[in-house]
Amino acid sequence: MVTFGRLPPLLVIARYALAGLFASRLFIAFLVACCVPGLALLVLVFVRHNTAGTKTLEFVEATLSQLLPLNTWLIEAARAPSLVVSFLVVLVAGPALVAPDVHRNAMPLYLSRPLGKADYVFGKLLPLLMLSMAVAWLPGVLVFAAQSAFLGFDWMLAHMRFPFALGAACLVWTVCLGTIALAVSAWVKWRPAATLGFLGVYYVTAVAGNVLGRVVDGADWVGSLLNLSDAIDTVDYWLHGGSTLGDAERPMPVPAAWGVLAASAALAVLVLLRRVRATEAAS
Amino acid sequence: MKAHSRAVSGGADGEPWAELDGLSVRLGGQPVLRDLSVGLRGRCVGLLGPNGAGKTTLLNTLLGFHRVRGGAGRILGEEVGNTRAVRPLVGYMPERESFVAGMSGVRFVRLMGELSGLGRDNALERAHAACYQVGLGEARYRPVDSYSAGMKQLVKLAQAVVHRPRVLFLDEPTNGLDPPGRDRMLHLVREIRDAGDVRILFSSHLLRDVEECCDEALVLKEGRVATHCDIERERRSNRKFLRLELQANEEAQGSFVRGLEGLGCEIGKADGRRLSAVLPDAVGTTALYELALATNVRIRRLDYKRDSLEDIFQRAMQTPAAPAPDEEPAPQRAGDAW
Repeated sequence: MVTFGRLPPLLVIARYALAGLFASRLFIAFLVACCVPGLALLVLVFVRHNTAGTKTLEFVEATLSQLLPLNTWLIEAARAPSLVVSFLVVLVAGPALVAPDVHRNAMPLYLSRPLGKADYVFGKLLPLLMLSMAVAWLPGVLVFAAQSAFLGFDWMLAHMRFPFALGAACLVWTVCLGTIALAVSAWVKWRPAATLGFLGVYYVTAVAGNVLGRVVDGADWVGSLLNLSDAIDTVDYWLHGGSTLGDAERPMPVPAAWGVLAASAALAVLVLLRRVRATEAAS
Repeated sequence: MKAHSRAVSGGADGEPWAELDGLSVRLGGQPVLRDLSVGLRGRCVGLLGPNGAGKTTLLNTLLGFHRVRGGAGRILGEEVGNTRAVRPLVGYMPERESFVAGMSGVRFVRLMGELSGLGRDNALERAHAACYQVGLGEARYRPVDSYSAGMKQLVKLAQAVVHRPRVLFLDEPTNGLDPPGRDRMLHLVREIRDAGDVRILFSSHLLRDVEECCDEALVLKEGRVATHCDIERERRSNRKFLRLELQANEEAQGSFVRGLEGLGCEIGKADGRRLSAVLPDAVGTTALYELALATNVRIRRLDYKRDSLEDIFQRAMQTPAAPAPDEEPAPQRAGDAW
């Protein structure tokens, strides 16, 4: 029998959280589905570069060449689903992580061990980061690697920013959304309500941002201060080499976008630390 | 376990394993524990007190859940604020229902073992052993959500002992148990106590539970130490305290009483045919029966004085807890609300 050593408490929490998620076949099916866009792109790259000698594939190649300027389009195609996939991972997995512990009053048991609140919170966030990187970042990197293999070292060097920017954007987005999901989950203590609550926080703030944007004159991006989607879109655009000052399509300045994401995550962490505690408040 | 192999002081016979030195805690701006100073030496110490006396708060403070506002506390020589040092030494069974939803009993106990610092395989092995020890049997493979109240108490105890702690905090362990379940729980506590290397702090408001398991009692009242006593010593001191009911005429009864005095007995109270007496160590009950035969007195009833802990508790509760000069009086509480 293989003997595994002692793990730090936060990794123990992360391991059990992941095991809990993978106990559901539905969740595994969901993760596989999340990989479909990446796999489709891989097939597309293969087809695009392996058409010689096959008439059908030659026809496909000719059609694709007309429709898609692969070099530029591929990068965009690999980038676009990653943030959506990260969002879905957090939406499905996030509320399931803390609610079962808080609901059944397990916090005194956790915190009576040599384990701090930060270990607990990070231990619960870690599975979200791992899953998000696995199904949102890794397929993009594989597409990038395949394309590099076909087009050569120069192409890879020219687009080297892509895998790092993709990974950074996934990480930032997952940390921001993950902390919010965990905070809502700790607050409402019940998984279905936590899922709804997370969607509520995400969309209600976005709608409020739109309303605010219409009401307040001046900067076009004021409403985006309440819209996490606008903020991550701006940061993602910047990470991939876009403008730092905002433009017509993304009017929000990059520092403001970072500020929105950081403030949201900080607020969520504050809520989490208040809810994740060993004892109830004195009455 | 690494933490267990560390040199920690205290816990040997006669040396306190837990020391409170003017320990004070405030919650929500109100003083809840006030200037507690005591050294706990017993193998199993009963923590007694009415609702709101501060029993649970004391346990939580020793675990580092509440900040110490004054004084200090040490467990096996480690400051209670140093949670990384204290917590691996301690096993904790909280009062309320506590478990991780959706997990089987053995997996839950294994998780808690791993969090206490056990390796994966070792934690699994000990989780099975702990579940077996508390009597969960095959039920350990079932989700804890499906357990009865008694089984949930047992799995809480299993997770508290899985890492073989040096100190065990049990907060109302018999709460919600039916009589057989309660007996089983108390039996387990005694088993753990008699194993010898674990010190237990047993919080309860049930005197009988404490009396059955503990050799020392700490009674709290309004956040202060009302009484701290060695139950065994109290029992020993009361062992010779007898209550007698006699059947005899007045003359014979008088002879009997004089005979008792002649044996060195202290006659406490004589009320008609009933009297109480304290026997000297050298005098056994056989001497009483011999005296009764000689004086033509029939002893209809002979009781050892019982419920010494109840007496101690009642006395402690009747004594008003005087607030310190710089303190406001404690607010009345409806129960253990924190």
